[in-house]
Amino acid sequence: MHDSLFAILKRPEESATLKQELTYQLHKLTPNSAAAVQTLTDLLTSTDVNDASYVDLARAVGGFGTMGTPALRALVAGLQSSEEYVRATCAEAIGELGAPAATTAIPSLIGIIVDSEVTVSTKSEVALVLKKIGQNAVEPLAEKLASANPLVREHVLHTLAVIGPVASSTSNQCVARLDDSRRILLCDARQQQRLERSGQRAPTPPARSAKRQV
Amino acid sequence: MTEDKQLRIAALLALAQVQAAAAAPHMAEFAVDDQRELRIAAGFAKHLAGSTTEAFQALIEVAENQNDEVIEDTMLDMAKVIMPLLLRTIRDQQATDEARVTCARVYAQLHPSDWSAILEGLADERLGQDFYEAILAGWEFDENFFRKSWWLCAATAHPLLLKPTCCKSPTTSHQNWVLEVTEMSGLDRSQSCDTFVRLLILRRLLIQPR
Repeated sequence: MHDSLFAILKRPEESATLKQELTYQLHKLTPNSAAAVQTLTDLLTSTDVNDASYVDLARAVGGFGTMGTPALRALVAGLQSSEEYVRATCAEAIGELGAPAATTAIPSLIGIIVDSEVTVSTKSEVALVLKKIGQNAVEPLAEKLASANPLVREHVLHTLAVIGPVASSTSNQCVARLDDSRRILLCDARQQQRLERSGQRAPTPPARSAKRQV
Repeated sequence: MTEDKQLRIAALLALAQVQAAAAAPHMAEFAVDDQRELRIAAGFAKHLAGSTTEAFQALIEVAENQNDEVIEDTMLDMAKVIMPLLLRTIRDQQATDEARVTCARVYAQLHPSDWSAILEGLADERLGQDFYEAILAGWEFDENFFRKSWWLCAATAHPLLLKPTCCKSPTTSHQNWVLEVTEMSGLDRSQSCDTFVRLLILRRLLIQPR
């Protein structure tokens, strides 16, 4: 019976509505089925990452939990979609795969956190996935606190907050950010003094001009 | 709010969640800052670090007036865990008016099952109107509550409803408001409330517009 279900999913001439419904229900109809995961993986691989059906397939993979690991590469590819809802769903599905498999996706997930074009809602979804991944996500995420863009630093801090005590190793970096503005202002003041001494006009400080662009 | 300030607040809130102990001295520093947003952040950070009672007290102290939306939103983020604290403050005659009304407004928006504290507040000569508006703040979120509270007021012929000058809607004329409330409360349908009381209240409301 399962084979005939998979065949429906693969047949191009089948009704899109039927295939969508079947995709949604696949993890219930064929629980613990490696063949189902493989079918979904094949379909993901052959689908454009910007296609709306990518969302249904990614969500269906998520329904299989850790069994969905074969689809990891396709899900990571979905994180690069130009459609934000595809990225968010793929991130969620990666979270369902569990820590060891999902670790591979850390750079792409962090890429969403630091992307200024992505909405806060999607970033929040991704932050929860990074929380699921845990310790392995903390260091590469904290590295982004060095970004020149204050908005990036802020989103990283929000994500660390979601991760919680597992990210305690970053507490010193958080403390450093508490005085962020003061440090920037101090640097500005010093630069201003240096320039005044040398008789030049002060240009716009880089950190501030970056903020204006956001 | 400037981005610098937002960043500092984000850092404090993150610190409170990744290592609460390390955040404590910084919360204390923010709590006395001359910038109000930082004082509010210090209060909320205490909640995130696990000291909800202290956080609640800190936020109450920062509340500047009876319609302090920033404080309200911050308290709403703390969610139902603060409901007992809100109730205690609403009933506390020693608390400031700002604190009691702010708490009533927040409480009304948290979908409570027990509305007695706010309904008791309606009878307060000085704050009755503010408590009433707190109910309206909750109305937006919980139509069922409004129906219930109306019935309660109506059934007891609550003095507030017999004093039309105390009843106002921020958005509609008095008469429209009464019609709106009538519809919301189901007064036009056959209900268990005593008809005479209902008619009396409505008549008083309609013939003495604000």
